[in-house]
Amino acid sequence: MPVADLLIGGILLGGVYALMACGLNLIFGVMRVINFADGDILAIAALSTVSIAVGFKLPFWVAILVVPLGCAVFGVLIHLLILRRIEGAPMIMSLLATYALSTILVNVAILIWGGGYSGLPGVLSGSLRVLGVNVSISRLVSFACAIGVSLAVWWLLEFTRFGRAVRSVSRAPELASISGIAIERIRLMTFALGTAMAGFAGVLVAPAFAVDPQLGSRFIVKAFAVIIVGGMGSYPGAIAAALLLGVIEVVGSYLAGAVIGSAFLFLLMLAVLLVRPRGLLGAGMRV
Amino acid sequence: MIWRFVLAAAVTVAALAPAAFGNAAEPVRIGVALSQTGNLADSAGPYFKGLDLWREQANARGGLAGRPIEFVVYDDRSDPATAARLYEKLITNDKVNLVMSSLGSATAATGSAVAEKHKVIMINGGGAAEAIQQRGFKYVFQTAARISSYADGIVPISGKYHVKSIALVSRDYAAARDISKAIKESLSGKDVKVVIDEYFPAGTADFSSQIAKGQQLQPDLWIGLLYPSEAIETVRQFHSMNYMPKFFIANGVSQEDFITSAGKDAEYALGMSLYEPSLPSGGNKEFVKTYRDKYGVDPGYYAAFGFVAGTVLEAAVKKAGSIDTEKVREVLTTLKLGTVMGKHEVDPTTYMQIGVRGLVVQVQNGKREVIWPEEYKTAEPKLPIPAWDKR
Repeated sequence: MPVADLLIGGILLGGVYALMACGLNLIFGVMRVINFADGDILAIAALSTVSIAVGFKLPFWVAILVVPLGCAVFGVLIHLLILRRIEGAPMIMSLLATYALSTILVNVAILIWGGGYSGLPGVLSGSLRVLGVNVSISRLVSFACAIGVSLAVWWLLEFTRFGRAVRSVSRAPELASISGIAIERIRLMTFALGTAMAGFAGVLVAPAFAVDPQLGSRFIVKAFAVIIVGGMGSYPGAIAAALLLGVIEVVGSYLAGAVIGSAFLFLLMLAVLLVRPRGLLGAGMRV
Repeated sequence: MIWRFVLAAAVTVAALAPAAFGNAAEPVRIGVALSQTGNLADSAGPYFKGLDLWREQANARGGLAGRPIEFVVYDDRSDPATAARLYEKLITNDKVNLVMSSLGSATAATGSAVAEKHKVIMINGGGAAEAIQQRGFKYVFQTAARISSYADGIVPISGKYHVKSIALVSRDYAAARDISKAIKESLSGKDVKVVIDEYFPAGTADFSSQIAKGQQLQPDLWIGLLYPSEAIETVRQFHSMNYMPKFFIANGVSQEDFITSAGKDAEYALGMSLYEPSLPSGGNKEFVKTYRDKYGVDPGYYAAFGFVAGTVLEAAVKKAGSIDTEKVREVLTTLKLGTVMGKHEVDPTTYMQIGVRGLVVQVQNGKREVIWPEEYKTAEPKLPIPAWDKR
């Protein structure tokens, strides 16, 4: 068994999952909103990246700057037009609203880009040889960014004034409101930040995978698995869970075939839900 | 008294006139449940474009048995149950003369059962699964290439290049299981070992574990029964793990998206294909030109499926001399014909397509070239595939 190859392959795949889970995790952690449209925002970001780099022939870094910004603006719109109106309603309302949004986004993307596949040939392609193991460049970049973004958000939440405000809004909205924190603005900024992160993930997966309007639906389940296993709202938990799931998927597929290998992932999710419903490092959830 | 008779005669004639004299101009109505939305919408679009191009050209030639052709189209939303309901409606409510299948085996399977029940002819232009034809239906004729014809080129290519070991890595869907079975059957008794035989579930985008196995077991030929997205991801991940088997062939390679999305990584990859615009088959140049003029793109194989379905129907009606169901059915059971996809011929008992043969293509300088069979070759194969650092 080529242990080193499989471990590195798994860890890098985990990095991709962690990156995808970042935005989802923030929005859930602070707003208790499960954003079903996260994967579709990611897909639209990836499609936009291809349009920018292949269609308009602009450098890839332009997409890194422009696309997350665009997604943040889009997030502001979603929050103002939809989510703000159903604040305080049972969680099922936001779940249904974002689910509807997801369906709309997929179909709008099909109208704009068509249903075919596209990609970014030549961007971040190929491999590096590290200690006798071939390491994919695009995945290495995704992995590094996932760690970087997670650390940044963790720092933002734990050590800044904004972060303290965000945490108080999430844990005790009434108290936060009494203390003069502008709850509405905090929620709006959080949602925008979350969608920007989905956008950033979209930009980075564009070079590694075939991009199409349904890209999100291929990955959203894995992103959910990451935050369920890691503990909803916990960043260190999400990173740990993503790496664990990546390694389990790759090693499991190697040993038992891909069909069983991917079942391991859901077995783990099930086990976590049964034994430790708040996840490995989760703060617990109050509904 | 005589006036009353004249009046009665006039009324009778007036009432009968549309039926008696209007018949020549009354269109032949062909029903299609088409996946205009849902996951098959992308494939069904070109299929219907091919059909519609045929309708236009056939009408210019005088239509079917002298009557213009008209399509009655509904959206089955890529859903097999909806397809069945729509064919029921087309046949009983809209009273169409005959039906064309939808594109996709699942919807064609349910739709064809309805056509059979009502004894209405269905040209199965879009359902490739063999199972559709193996039910012994009498009114369902397959013009789509049957699924196992994808594998036609595997044995000749393996023989020519002395392939000794094979990896089969496929998405778990019905067509892949059929093709995979056909490949294994055609290789049985030959000195070829299957060293990896694996399916992965829909939604898989990572092939690290399969590539790790490939690096370890070194199969000569890697066969992938894949969607285009998975073919793109496979070659890109081959590159990012610095791995390349001597031969890599996949059905997803013969889709246009593969080359545009994988770029240089696409070079040398082999594709199983059923139709290519460059195919030197009868009438193909004309078809490609008119299709391009009308829609601005080259036809792919779904477009060819649609066009061929119409071509075969037209030839059968011409031979039968009318659109009478039983007469046309009789002709269809034995009809042989050259089409843009090569040949049309059905098995005499199941009416399964046996005329169309699969092709092998190779990506060379950003274009797909036919490298097998010999008579349709457009370029010399460049094989075995060179390693990444030797390109």
